[in-house]
Amino acid sequence: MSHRRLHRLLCAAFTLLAQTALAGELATVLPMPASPLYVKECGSCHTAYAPTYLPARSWRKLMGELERHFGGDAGLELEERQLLLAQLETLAGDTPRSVPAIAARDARIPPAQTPERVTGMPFFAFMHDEVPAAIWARPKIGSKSNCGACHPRADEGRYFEREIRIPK
Amino acid sequence: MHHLANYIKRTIGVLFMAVSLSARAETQMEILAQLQAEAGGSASTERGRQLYQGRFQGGQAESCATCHTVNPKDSGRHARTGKTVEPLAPAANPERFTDRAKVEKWFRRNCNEVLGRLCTPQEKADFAAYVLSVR
Repeated sequence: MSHRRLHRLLCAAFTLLAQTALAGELATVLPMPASPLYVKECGSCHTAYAPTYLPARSWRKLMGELERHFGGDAGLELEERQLLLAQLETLAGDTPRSVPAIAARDARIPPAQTPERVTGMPFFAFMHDEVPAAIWARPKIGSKSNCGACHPRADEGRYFEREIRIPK
Repeated sequence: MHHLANYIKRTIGVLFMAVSLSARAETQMEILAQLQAEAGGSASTERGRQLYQGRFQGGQAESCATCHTVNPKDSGRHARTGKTVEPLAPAANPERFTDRAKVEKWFRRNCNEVLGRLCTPQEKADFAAYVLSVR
């Protein structure tokens, strides 16, 4: 093996390790849709979730029925909806742009199933398994979809452990 | 000649930008005036207050105040997600009621959410009159 190939292999292995959340941490900034519309529209009621948290088929389903969105009306103009869906599909959990630890877990979900809740995804459970119910119940957190309560820069795709601030 | 054509193009571009920028920055009073005109000319802050503070059974949320708080100048929380909702009253949040399309979108979503139907032009005008009157 040439020196160069070894170097490349080591780099790849290191990146994989860093991303695989072995230490229970997401060590990269998760890619977010480029359009400012994403945080503006989706981020007004809940965290603007990183697209990698759901597979592409989930985004297609959610964006196809925004008028009935978890008991609320999140309807958008057709043009805005198409623009955002295109960006979500490119960065979804089952695409090459995803984080390996997420993609691996998504791959185990049968294709006939279309998960709708980020907070119900296996990766979410894996990352939060040490958070006790009493913390989730704190009024300033309110619900599991309020990522920003503890991850202040979640809307930028940042979930670093060192940035976590759990409200009292 | 070529320079002149470019100059004219640029000038038109700048003018167009200025017009579209000013169109975006509608004032709260202009938006209220539009809503009022669509309601047939009048708006009542008292009816608006009753709509804002009232409790309803038609939709998912009981009241506007559920998420926007009893005092429209306070920050609220989204009833289901817990996400912070910035104050609705321009007295506390000057961004509010400065974009007509945004105003309409949220009337559509939230009237459905609280009343289980769209708001009438009169209700929208009253609501805006109340929220803008909060000091």
